[in-house]
Amino acid sequence: MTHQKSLFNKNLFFEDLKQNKHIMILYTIFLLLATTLPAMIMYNSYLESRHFYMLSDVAEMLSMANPFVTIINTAAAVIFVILQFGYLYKTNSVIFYHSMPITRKNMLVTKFLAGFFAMIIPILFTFMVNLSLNVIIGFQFWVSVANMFKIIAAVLLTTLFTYSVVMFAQSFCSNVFALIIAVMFIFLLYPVTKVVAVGTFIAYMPTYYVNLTLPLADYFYPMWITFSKTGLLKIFTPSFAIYLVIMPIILVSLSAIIYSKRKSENTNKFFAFDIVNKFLKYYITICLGIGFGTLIRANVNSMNIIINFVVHTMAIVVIFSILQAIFEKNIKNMFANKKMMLLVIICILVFVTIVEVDIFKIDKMVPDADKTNEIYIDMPVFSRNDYYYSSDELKFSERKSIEGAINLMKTGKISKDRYPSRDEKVVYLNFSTSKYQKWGIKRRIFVSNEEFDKFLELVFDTKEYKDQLYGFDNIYIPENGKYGLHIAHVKGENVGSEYFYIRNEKEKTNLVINTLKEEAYSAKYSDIRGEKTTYFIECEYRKDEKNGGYRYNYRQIPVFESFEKTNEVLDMFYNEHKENIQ
Amino acid sequence: MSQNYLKIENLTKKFDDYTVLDSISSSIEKGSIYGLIGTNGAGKSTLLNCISGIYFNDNGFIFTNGEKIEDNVNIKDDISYISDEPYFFNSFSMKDMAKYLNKVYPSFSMDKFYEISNLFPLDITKKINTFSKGMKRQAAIVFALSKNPKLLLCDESFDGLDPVIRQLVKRIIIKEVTERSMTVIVSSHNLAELENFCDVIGIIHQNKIIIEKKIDDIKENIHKIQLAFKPMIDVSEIKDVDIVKYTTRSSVMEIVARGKLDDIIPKIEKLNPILIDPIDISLEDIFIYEMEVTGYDASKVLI
Repeated sequence: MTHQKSLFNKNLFFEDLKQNKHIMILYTIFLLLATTLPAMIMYNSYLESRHFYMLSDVAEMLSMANPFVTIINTAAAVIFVILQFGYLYKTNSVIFYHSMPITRKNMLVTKFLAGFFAMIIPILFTFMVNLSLNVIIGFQFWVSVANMFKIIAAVLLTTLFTYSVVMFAQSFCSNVFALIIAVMFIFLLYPVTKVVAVGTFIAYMPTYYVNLTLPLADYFYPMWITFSKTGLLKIFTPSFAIYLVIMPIILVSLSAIIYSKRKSENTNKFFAFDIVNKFLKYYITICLGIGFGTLIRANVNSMNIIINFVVHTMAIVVIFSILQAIFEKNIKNMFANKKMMLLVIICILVFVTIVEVDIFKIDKMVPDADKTNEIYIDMPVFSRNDYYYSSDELKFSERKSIEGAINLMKTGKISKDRYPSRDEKVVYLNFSTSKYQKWGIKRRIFVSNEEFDKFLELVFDTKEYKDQLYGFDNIYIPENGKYGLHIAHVKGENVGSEYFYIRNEKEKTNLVINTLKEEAYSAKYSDIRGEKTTYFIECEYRKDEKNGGYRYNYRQIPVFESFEKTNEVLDMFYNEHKENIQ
Repeated sequence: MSQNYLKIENLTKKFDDYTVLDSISSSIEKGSIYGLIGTNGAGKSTLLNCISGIYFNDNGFIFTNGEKIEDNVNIKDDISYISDEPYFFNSFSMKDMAKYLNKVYPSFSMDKFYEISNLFPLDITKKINTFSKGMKRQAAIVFALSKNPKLLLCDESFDGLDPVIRQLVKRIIIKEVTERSMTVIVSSHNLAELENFCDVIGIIHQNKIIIEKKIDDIKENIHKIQLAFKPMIDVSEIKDVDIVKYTTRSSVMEIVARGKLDDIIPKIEKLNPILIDPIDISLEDIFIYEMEVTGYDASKVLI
């Protein structure tokens, strides 16, 4: 007899596993077709062509880190959830299962585990076949046995994650279509919400720039890490593995709670819980309604607010009524909930009015200098004689720099256009404070060239600015790279008329950097005022780290006439360069 | 003294805002056969689903042997529920299905399965999805009884069975009731179907059990008597007899009267009838009279 508090029923588990055997065989065949077979065909080609690089592809194919395996595993996750929980789609099968002497929680956990084992057995079988081939043929040079185990662990955990998400969605769905909508909703919730929120903000607040990247994407879509061996080995850290274990446990626990509250009689409904039905209906309507309306507004120049209202209203009516018909499983019920539809329309039109009129004056907001500790500006790192150096994000935390930056925001021009024209004699700067920077929110303001030069004069003498311009921190000098420093010689007014490189020469590189640092740190703005630039040092430096990889920023660093020692060194290398050419 | 096996207290079940069962209370004795009568949509299946723990109550309690049913695995193992549309796995034969149930239900007995299935004209090695509707229903009955249930719930299970099989099923159930004191609840929309089978009849109408009577008690207390007088008398002349209904045709009168027959006959004999003949009264007639007394229109409740 199953104990009342038991969460696992051995007999039901094995019976379920037995019933899934045909699909397990088919799944195994698909996995072999996606890994072993192409690997062997490629190996056969290698034996004929002897192209060495092909062995690396064969080894990667055998390691199971390829997009086909990811796609097959994701599809299998959906199929096994349907096989395991498809009884919830019919009244008589619900009665059959729910009259069993097994608690709901026990049934969910047992069926979850049976489905998961039905998935991992084919994966492990395929892995064993591939591992044997790797060892027998000798591909360890390209993918070591240890890495193969790391990859299979990642494949299993990401598969578990996907399967758990689908099963969580299933816990409140009553048919396959509902399941597809719920799974899509869970996976698309983050990107669609962010895109709509950011898109709407940018569309109505054109002076703002908001970063649209999805930094949490790896956590929402971990199955993508199994697309390639290289990516997987970088991303699949112990902490990420723990995340992939904990999330399924949370999802199964939530599903067990939801399932134990699920009413058997709701089999005929689209979603088994009215609250899910309502939440999804209103959330999707609001999100897509605003998104669609904003998209139209963003693409039509100077749209009238009334037309904007009409577009939003039409979008809401269409989306709401379609969802109403789908969720109620009756097309005649499309307009059955007119009052709520009207309420949604009113709420969205109020929102559109607020952002269109900019009631809270967000588009004209300037931070209070006294309350600002740090300010970040995307700006040309320097300017000279109407030449603006490459832009980069610089940080200012000294009081006078902050005040100067905020003054630029106040005196600058707020423009609805994205970029200034050349005739405007302005430079566009993106401002952000530490509070908004973490959200990727920046304020774009057009600053006149004169004002910008004044700001440079203000900050040039600060150590903070010098550190950022001449610090050479995190400079990228690759061991086997093409060049360490890329130096542009300035002849007269011709910026970058002639380039030369210091390649793979650590001593020369350090000599240039150290000499320049020494002179630049001691220079005052008054010393370089009116001076010409003689050289640009162009280099790349590491900006930040993400998933084991670096983002590199390009930086132009000016050398002035008064930097005598630096000019001497650079002249020497420039002359060497010319001699080499001759 | 009889022992209550099932006790229902103020059971309320709603489907969204619609109340299907409204504060239903009842007690069912161990070893009895309870006939649950009601029209389509009256709430019979819902009540059985609640009793079997498939549906959660919105209010009230259901106890068997003093324990609450809700998701109680011990009690669920004691209950066999034959739904009006039984479920079987695709491509499973009865034997395969029995093996599956044997794994899942601790109380399932393969010996009992072979014993009972032998009584039915069913091929247990043939796939169930090739069976007719009636055969599937027979298979469901075989599986349900193979679990040796303490409580058997039959939701219109006799529908679709031919008269011979129907009698066979009734005989098997009565045998189980007699031998093991199994308690049975049978739902039907047809009162005549449960004639001579049930001990207690409950009529469910408009979300409530409107009448619940032991058949022996009501048969003992209501009688149909054919009388002949010469000359014919007026019915009001029959004193001290609780006449529910009467009809007169020339010199013959038919009355339906409440009370013990031994009490009624002497009172009528005082009027010197030329004929007093107690005649058979059907269960349906009894309930029609009972319902009319309680103010219900029987034609809307009983088919």
